[in-house]
This record gives sequence, C-alpha cells and structure tokens, in this order.
Amino acid sequence: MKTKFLAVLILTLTLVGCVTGPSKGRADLLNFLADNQTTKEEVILNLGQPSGRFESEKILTYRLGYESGNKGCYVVERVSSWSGEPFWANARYSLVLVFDGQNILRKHSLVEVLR
Amino acid sequence: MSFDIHGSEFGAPRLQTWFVLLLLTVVFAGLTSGCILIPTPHYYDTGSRQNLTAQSTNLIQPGVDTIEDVLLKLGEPDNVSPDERRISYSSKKIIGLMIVIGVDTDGSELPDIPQYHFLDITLDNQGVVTHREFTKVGTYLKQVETFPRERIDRLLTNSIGGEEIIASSRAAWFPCPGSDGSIPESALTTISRGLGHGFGLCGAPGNQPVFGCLMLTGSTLNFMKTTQWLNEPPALSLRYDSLAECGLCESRLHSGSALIVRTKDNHCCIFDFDGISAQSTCDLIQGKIKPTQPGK
Repeated sequence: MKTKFLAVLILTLTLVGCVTGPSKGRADLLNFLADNQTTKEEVILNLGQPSGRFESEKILTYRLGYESGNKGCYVVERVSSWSGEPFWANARYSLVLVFDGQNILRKHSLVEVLR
Repeated sequence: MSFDIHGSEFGAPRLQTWFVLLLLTVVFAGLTSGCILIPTPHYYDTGSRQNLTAQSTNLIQPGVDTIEDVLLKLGEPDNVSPDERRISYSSKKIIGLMIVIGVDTDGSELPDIPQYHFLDITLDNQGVVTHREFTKVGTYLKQVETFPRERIDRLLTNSIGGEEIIASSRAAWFPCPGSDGSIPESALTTISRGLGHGFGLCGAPGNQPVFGCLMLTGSTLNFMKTTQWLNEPPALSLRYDSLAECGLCESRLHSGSALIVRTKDNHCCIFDFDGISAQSTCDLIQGKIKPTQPGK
C-alpha cells in the first residue's frame, strides 16, 4: 500500500512539473488586419497600445512574440536597458502599420527581426 | 590509426612546436596585457535584432524612400531623434572571447568581445531619406564594454518640441515626492545653511533615481527616461518661468555637485549629471529664470 502511495505521489509530482501555463500565442492574432479597411481604433482595441509611434501616429509599430507550439503570435512590450541598448529577446517580429489621414490602415508589414 | 607526434611527412609543424608556441603565447600574454583573445565565429548576442547586415543599407534608397518605407522594410527602429529626422537600427554580435591570465573567474562565463552594428538614417523635413550609413563599433584591438551611449547622445543635438536643444546630458533625475507645499523655506537657503545636501529637503532619501537625458531648450527643461522613445513627450517638462530657483547640492551618485531646482509651487527636482557640469547647467537655467516679483 505504501509503495503504491509513493509511486502515485512521485508520478503526480512528475506530471505537475510538466504542466505549462495557457498558451499566449494566437495563430489568428493578425487576421483582422486588412489594408484600406481596418481603422486605427480597431487595431488598438485588438492589439493594445503600440510599442512605437512615428510621424504624428501615422505609423504604429508592435513587437510580437512567437509560440512555435501553436504557431501563434502575441504582443510584447518594448524593452531597453538603462544605457539605451535595445532588447528584442522576447519579440520575433516587428509589425509596422501605416495609416492615412482618416486613420484607415493603408499598408502594413510583418518584419522578422529574430531569425 | 596512429597520430604522429613528431610531425608528418608533408612538412606540417610538429606538435611539439605547437606546444612551445602556445606556451610562449600564454607567457607573453601574461607578461604584457595579461589577456588572450580568442576569435570565435561571429554570432548575435541574446536580445539583439538579427535583421541588420551591411546589405540592409542597400535596401534603403536615398532620395526615394521615406520613413514609412524604411520602417516597412526593416521594422521598428531601435532609436529615433526627438524630431524624427534621424533613426537608427542596431545589432550586437559576439566576435570573440577574452581570457584574463591569472584571474580566477569563479567558473563564470568568459567575457565576450562584442561588436555593435549600426545603420543610421537621416531624413529631410518631408521624411525622405537623405543619407544612410552602416558602421561597426568594437574590434579585437579596440573593444567596447557596453552599448556606446554616445550613439544616443548624438540623436539629442537637433530640436525637441520645435525648439533647438542648447544643452543635453545623461542624467539621473530624483523626483521628490512630498515636497508639495511642505518646504517651509527656500531650498537654496537650506543648502547654504549647511543643512546638507538638498535630498533631506525634498524628503528624498527613499526615492529612486530615474535614468535618462536632460535637455535644455530656450524656454524649457526637459527630461527623457532611457526607457522611452525620444520622440515621445518628455517624462518631465518644466518651463523656466515656472521655476522659483535653481542651485547646487551634493551629488548622490558621485563626489561632485548635483543640480536642484524648485518650482514656484514648491516642487523640487534634483539632477545628477554624467557629462556636462552641474555648475554650467545651473548658470544657464539661472540666466533663464525670471526674477520673482516681491510679495508674490
């Protein structure tokens, strides 16, 4: 009985060690993006605050992490050290979104930053 | 299969010769700089972007490409000037390892020899690329230990908020919470009485420094945090006409002086500098502060 209990305990502890959290990545994260249709408001509602804003917010950038398990992407925050050195460790892609004067997405590109 | 320790018939140096050469190298290194540099295959350091090469320069066409084309091709830049007329991409590669003779590293990793790559792009007022340049910083002989911070400083020489930057320096800002209306007397009076260093004045011993850049224009003192984009609104922006006084106090980070400013509504800020002197900055600000009307 004792042996069985010990075996179950060891097995349980081993399995607990293998449990991972819920996946962060979403394979359909960027499916809503469509040039000449998507608005800036929709982008922010879907992706949150951008990591960079340029040309009076005509250009927004996001950093995206990648999860190979489900081939999904997730938004990560910009990180830089106190010396100003950039840090891309958590991000694999840079999403660049260009809007027109009416805040409609005109062009976008997903640049692979880490290979 | 046997290994011929005495040399081969093809005239290759004998193994003994290699041992002697290696021994001489170690002895020479120990007697001179004490370091041995081991070149390694170049590889990207952890956290470095990996889509920047010398060939990236050819993707950008001066006179044709705009800031939007650059970003669409290379992604988010790593640094940008406050007026967005200069953007910079950077990557970090490890090009070798350094062994220091006679130093016990406690089993920790050998120090890496880094090399930073930069692509600097200049744009005109219409956002069209006028110039692009790829450079490498750090070699085996001229090593850099950390990210060359002067690259950021170089971006701080144009303008901010449409005003020319007349002085800028890396600085640590000590915001002083609790200084609101709680200062019974002038900050400068307290300091001159020898009550110390100004930090107690602001209730600051517990507060943490915010690292960044101090930038002075003709009308405003601006502070940008290192973690923020330089084209974002500054973390702190104080117009000189909102300041009551400005003086020097003991630095909290080094043996020199720090700058302390007090606003007319009794907010205190202390800045420790890394580049320009606190005295010259203080003189500059004092020259801009309008004399307070008596009785106000």
